[in-house]
Amino acid sequence: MLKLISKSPLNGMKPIKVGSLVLSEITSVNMFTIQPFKNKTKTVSKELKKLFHLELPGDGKSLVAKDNTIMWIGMGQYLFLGNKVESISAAITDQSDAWTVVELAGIDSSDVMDRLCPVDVRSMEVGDVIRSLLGHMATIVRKTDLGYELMVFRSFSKTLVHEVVGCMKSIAAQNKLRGL
Amino acid sequence: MRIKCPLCGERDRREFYYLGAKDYLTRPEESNLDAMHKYLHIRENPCGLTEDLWQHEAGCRAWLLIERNTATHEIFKVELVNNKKDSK
Repeated sequence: MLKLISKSPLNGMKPIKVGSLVLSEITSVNMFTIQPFKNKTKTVSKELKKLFHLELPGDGKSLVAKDNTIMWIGMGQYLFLGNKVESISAAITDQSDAWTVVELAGIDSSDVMDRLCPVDVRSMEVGDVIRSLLGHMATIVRKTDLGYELMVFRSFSKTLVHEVVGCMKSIAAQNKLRGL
Repeated sequence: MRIKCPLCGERDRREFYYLGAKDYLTRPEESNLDAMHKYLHIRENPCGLTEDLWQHEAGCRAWLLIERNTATHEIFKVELVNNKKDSK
């Protein structure tokens, strides 16, 4: 049978390095949205605990256990990354190919975010999640150890790279002028 | 203008979508034409205190009921529409 080659949203883009900043694509994980049925939030938490040693995180939070990550992405909605999720008391939608995920890493990553996102990302702690805007795109932002993980709809992948790399270049150039 | 979303915290106005007066929460019987006409088309245009519906469109996507002053842009109260049991 014909075997099709899968393409990541940024088609295997190599990490882009500008000054101390690095933008890299994060690929190949299963992704599911979990929306607990009415009054089933606690049940879903218990089911996830049993299956993956995870529970539903609080508003604006994410949790990691082994290879699985779960994050809050809106009212009554969670995103699960890692193993396949099925048979829990929630509506589950496979989102595996639907999102572009990149990590913006480096000591100046907050400076880049300051220009693109209307939220004060500096007040975020590692694991915190917000939904906001990046330029004009709806984005999920998660604080990581090295910087920020950014998620946009797959069709916005080129715009995402264009916006972020533009800011990375500008920040790096200004730092150079200042002799930093 | 900044709005304090009960789920996300204080956010910039550009993350929100404005729908209109809170009248949209109480839909009349469709057979009552006068009430339906009023529901769809007749609105107060207050200078001062008003309650209207907004959606945190670029954020958590929750619908919000916001009490604010149109003259001074003060915001007094932000509630989740989901928490209002009598809404339809």
